[in-house]
Amino acid sequence: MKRRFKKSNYFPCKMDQLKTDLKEQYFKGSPDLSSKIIEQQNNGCIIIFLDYLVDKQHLFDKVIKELQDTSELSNESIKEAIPISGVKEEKELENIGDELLDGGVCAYIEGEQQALTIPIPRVEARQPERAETESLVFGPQISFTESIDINLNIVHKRMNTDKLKVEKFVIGDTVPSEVRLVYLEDIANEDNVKEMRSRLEQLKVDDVLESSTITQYIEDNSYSIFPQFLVTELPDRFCYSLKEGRLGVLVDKSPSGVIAPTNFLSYFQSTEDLYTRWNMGAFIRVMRFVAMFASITLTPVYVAALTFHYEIIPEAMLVSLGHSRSRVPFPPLLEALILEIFIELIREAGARLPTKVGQTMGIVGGIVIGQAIVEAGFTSNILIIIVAISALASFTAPSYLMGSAIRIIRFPIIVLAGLWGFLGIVFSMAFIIIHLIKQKSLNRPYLAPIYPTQPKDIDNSVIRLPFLFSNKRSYSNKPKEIKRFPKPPKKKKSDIDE
Amino acid sequence: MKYHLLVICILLVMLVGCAEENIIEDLGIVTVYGFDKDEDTGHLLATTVLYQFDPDITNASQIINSEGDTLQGVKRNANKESGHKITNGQLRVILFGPSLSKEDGFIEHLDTLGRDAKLSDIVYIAVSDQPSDQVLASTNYEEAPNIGAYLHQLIETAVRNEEITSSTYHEYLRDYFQVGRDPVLPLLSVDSEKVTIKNIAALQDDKVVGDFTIEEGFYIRLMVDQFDSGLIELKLPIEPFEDHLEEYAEIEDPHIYAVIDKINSNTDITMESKNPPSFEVKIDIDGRVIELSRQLNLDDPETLDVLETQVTKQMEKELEEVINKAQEMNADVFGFGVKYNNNTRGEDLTKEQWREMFTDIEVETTIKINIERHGTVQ
Repeated sequence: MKRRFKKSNYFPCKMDQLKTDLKEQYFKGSPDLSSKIIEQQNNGCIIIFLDYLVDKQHLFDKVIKELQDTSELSNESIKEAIPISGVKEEKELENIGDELLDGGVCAYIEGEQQALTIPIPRVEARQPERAETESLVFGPQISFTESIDINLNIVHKRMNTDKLKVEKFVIGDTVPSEVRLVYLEDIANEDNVKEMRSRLEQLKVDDVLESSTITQYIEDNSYSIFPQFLVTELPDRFCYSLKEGRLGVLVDKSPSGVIAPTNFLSYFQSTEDLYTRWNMGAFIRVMRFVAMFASITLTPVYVAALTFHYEIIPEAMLVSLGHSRSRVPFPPLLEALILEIFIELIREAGARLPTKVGQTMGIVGGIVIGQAIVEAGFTSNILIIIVAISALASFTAPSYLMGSAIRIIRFPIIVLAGLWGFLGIVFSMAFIIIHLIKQKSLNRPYLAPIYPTQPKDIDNSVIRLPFLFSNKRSYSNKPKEIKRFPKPPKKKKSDIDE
Repeated sequence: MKYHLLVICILLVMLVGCAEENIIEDLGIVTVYGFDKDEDTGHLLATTVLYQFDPDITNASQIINSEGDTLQGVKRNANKESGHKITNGQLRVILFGPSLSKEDGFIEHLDTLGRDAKLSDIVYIAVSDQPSDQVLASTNYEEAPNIGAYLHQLIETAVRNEEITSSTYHEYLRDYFQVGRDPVLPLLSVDSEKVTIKNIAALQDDKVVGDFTIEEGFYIRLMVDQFDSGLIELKLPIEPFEDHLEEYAEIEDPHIYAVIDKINSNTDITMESKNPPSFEVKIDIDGRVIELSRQLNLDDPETLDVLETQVTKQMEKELEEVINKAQEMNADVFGFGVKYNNNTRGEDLTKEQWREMFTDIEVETTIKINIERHGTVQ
């Protein structure tokens, strides 16, 4: 920030003068600057604060009361008397103004060379609640909140170790925000930490807004539709990733943490896979991949088969497909696009409207309009099934951003399928795969462990194995320490009855 | 990179016209062609069965009769009679009526199957004993959407149940061109408005010369293929079983019927001598008795032995009959000629030569049957 006040030896001054100067020069006549003068026999003290930024309770109990009780007013005695840490002596008007903005109180005793600032900010923050966008059925339900203090508190509570390292950055020219880089010193890869640190240090923006926007500023390829850093609102996922050797970034005023580096497969993993038993976890994980693939290809295959390749339609389906299509006035491409956009409309409207109305919207949109569309012969009912399934399938991705990416990427594939048939689908799939291979996340390959192939990582990517066999961290993360824990000895069979 | 994207975008727009659109509801999708010969004009008479999509009509069948000289020509002529674009991509069965299959032969009408990529190679070839338009006009085709789908289902089920040998275009052509083997095709017939597989037609090249019953077909299949779960019903004389019968009811029947299923067979044909050609056929069969018309205690090894001997005898007898019948027709549906050709390298056997030799070949058959299980209820 530019220095606005050159004058370095402002003090001593009159109490009223200080207030006027602050109001006029720093706050440009803000109406919220309050002050109170405490008179004692031989001396006076003024306290200045911004009404809505300070904790009133603290102000009266800890500051004003102590000041009134102190027999002798001096900086030293006040510092001792006030039971609040972070009390500073400031010489310059600008610094005082900054402190006030951060929720401090300025106490100036007439005649002193310095003014005191006492930080008693009032923090309005949501208490941690149940996770909404990434809700789990099973396992910890808590989610991050908008306050970095609360978030750090949660992370520290979950990661009760001295190896947890936190680095502080302040980013933003107009609105500075606190950003913390969190990682486990003994596990996280040194190169990753350096890279992340330098990206955060070099970031020059006016305002970071939110952790998902900071992600877009610092990720490897901001043109791609696929997110390269994972944004999560779940502390348990955040901490699990740290334990895997990844880095975490917390941003003040943002209810989510950023995890980096990530790979494509990690967007389909959930900590819930670990909480359930290994076979269920493995099944659900594989199901998500299948769902993703189905979500991308189902509608395009319908469009391509009905427009160009009637030969491949199984005999049993041919008649029902033909019957349902025979009244539709549009070509399959248009039919599919209309319906896909319709589903996106319902989703968007449902998300924007208040919860209660949203539900009604879902029913009206989904059932009533869906039924009417088929009745009116605008689309075939088989397409409705296909579109609904692929929309459902896209929501299985535990990362909201990845789910949206999958939904959006369907549209160009549908168009290509309608223009070129299966050739178009193959073309677009090849395009996506090439694109994914080219991507990097914090300079690490995005498609790992599929490419570069790392078969040892199968338990941390595609499926899940029992912990007995799965005691290693992901190789493609290149952590400092690969083993999570020593391999447990084989359990001896012992029967209590014997 | 920008240049590449531009090229892709231009291609995307320009090449759209190159793809031939076949939107499903605009098509007349042919499932079966039936061919006959117009005796007066000599043209090909075709019956084309297509899917017709109409949500109000459950019956999705549409039949077009057209004339022409080639399959593609017939298709073009059929197009004139339909508002839909006639396409062959879902063709399942090609049926030839007696006028073609018995007299003229039909191989020239199958030529386009090998040339047109739109036509599948696994189309079933079948012949009928009535003109094909009559066969395809039959109205009872179970729950199938049209007669073509029904015929496909009918033949495929029979093949899967190991009742007849598969006769797709590919397999037919193999038998057609291979020296020393004659093809068989299912012979379809209409019985009270419903098409059935009546017999198995034996062909010399592309002309039907006679037919075998489905039961006789079992032995043909036994010789040319392996059984995995076949079924046969045998009629055995009662005398050898006299000592082993456990009667609880009076049955006046000089025969005992035995049904053997889960037949798993292995056939080995070797050529014994060249002049005259004689062959030895060894067949191993494993099977399970699932039905007997008289009570036998098969737990007794002796009884089982008698049953096995009698079954063997009966099967050998029937097999010989089938071979004799084939020799009378002079259609080597077993492929003895292939064995002969393989054992006499360098002689360049021709079809005509083998036709002359086949009627005189001698075949010695040995069947070994092993009955593994014989019922579960005690």
